[in-house]
Amino acid sequence: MKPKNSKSSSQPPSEVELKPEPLQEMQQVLTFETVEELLSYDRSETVIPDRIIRNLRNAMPGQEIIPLKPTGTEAAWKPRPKE
Amino acid sequence: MSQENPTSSPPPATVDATTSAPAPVPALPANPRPTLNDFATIYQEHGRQVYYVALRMLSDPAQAEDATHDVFVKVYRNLDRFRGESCIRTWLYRITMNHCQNVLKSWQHRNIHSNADDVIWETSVGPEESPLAVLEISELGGRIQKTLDVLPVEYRKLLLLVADQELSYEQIAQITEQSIDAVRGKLHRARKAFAQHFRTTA
Repeated sequence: MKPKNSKSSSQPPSEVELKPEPLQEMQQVLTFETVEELLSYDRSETVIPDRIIRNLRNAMPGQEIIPLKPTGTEAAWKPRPKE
Repeated sequence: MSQENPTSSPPPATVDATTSAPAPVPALPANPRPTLNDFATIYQEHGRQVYYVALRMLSDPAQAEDATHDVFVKVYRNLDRFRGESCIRTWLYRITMNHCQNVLKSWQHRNIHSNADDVIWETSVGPEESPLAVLEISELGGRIQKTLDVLPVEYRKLLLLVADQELSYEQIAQITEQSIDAVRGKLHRARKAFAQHFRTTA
């Protein structure tokens, strides 16, 4: 999942960038072309609580459930082909 | 919970408890007829999607954890009923959506949204295609959640499903039990409503 990513200094101002809060560090602007792209990125960045695995292992002894793949391993977003 | 082909009951597979060290799990075959031995693989491949859908549907991390646990326990107990006629991803999403919907029905969530909201979103006008810019990455999840929370549940479901690019519109139609044309039409309005409200959350 790779949204368009650029430094704020090189972007034309947008309504989001005009927030009055001071910027302590270089900030990034991510731009998503579609809602699904945004949600797909959000999913890839969502942290999965370890407690789920612990509870599943307790509920299903003998199942070798291993932690989910770390974030950022999902494939880049590709628009769904026209059906 | 909706079950597919509940009449089919192949002999239950045994749990392989001989493997002790966690190891990378092999991918399921293209047309899987999974057994209990495949459970870890199923969790590995679909756990993130299930948790994410539960999180954004229920708007509560603790409930999403519980829902994810419950969904996979249901999968584990009913795996022998899955005949592989549909994709396991579709089956999992259907279980997840039904479970979340039951959770939503069971408490006060239903008081937040009335049919009047549907009218607003059905008739809303706004840009659908223009890019969505995000500056504060740390706030992204909160903004998305705020936006989804005000959308009708139907729109929320469709947007979360269509965000999984491995699902076709046909599969989304199967999961949500409606026609493909209905999915397309509602998704068009859902995207527009989402984009419109998302910009107000900045």
